[in-house]
Amino acid sequence: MKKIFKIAIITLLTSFFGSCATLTNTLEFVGDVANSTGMEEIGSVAKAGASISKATESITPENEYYIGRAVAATLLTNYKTFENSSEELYLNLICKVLTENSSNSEMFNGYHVKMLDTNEVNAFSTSGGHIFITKGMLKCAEDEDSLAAVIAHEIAHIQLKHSLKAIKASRWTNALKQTATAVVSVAGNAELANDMNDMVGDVFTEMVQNGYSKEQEFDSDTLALTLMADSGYNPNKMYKMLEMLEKIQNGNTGVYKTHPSPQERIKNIDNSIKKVKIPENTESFREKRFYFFTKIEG
Amino acid sequence: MKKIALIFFCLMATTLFAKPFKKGTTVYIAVKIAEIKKSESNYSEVIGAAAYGRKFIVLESNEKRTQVQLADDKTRIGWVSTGSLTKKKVFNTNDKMASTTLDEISISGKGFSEEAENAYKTSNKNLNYEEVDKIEKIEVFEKELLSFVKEGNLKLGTE
Repeated sequence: MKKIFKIAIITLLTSFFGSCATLTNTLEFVGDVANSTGMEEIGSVAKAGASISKATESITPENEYYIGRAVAATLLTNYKTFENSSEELYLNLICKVLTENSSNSEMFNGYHVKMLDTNEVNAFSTSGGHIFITKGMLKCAEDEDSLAAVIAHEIAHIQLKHSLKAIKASRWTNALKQTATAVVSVAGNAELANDMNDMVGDVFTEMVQNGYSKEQEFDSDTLALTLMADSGYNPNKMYKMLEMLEKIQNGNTGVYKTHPSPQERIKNIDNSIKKVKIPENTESFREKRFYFFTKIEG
Repeated sequence: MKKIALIFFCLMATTLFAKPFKKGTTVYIAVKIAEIKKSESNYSEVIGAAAYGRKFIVLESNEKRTQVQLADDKTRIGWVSTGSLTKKKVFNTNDKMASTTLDEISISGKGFSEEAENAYKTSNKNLNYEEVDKIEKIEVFEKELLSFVKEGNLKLGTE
């Protein structure tokens, strides 16, 4: 217990550092403080974090965008898109409402939602702002607020940079070393292309094969609740979606090895939802249009 | 690993939200194109647009919106969304109006850009970039958004 208090105090002290650019300095500071006060374990962890952070600090919004595009282009070799322009517009409108109400940093080229033509129940998102939702997942939503829950969860993964965190730190430092020369030659770009390939591989292993960690899934659910409430959507609809997912999965943890079960996610939400201000219930206003836009799904 | 995650999460959480900027801070546009509006309101008239990397000085700022002054022309003032700005210098080799030195241009080549993507496409011909380009063209117009929010009794910004 004592150690947790120490970590908490250090965190509180360092929470006054606002910008991402000072994260490395912060971690190095935490490391020095921890080491000098006898908390070597925390000290070495913070120092390790500082070197990972140094590498990721150099990633610009544009870099994130191009990585995201590479991931999306790869995903789309595995999945076909589902074309329905009015339902697509509907999903993008919901996404826009959620992101406009968010105080977080914007995406380089905005967010875009696309449907995938498969009955598999799944959703994916990239650091390029691309959000993919399968027909199978869409069928699970009974109303607009439930749809908003799915989209909000994906937006949260993007805002929390989960796909980028899947990329091994060494890949970034390699890529940055290669562009140290004044002019980026064609040969230089070919090297970068290889790095891109490796990075996409890292993201795929995590996003598609293993699934994000439990902590990352819980964090995304927690942030999604706020995104929903700030837009006027009912965060309690998150429960509905998870209960539906549980029915479908029938107690299996599905494809993912580390993915938390719907039950575990529900437990996390029980906790997080206490801190969210539930908006006034306006769901009836969205009922008709939900049926209109999703009638294809029947 | 868990400890790293804990520290990271605590610190990341504090850096996640677009915090208002102090008056006089130098900021850069961190998105491809940022709309510049006449006033602070979400519904205000759009008076221009600024490209990635363009430099501004902060006049006034809150969590959602920031009033900025173009660094190269102090008569040009307008409001942009706070989330589209960054204190960290970003370079845009395509922005002919950005004042960059040769060093800055070389630094901007670091990491991934359009050129790197073109090289990547060449060595991976099965990738579906065409579809990605199509997806990025999906647009939600301001008017559509406003009526969607109104009809659905949802919220938009602080209004």
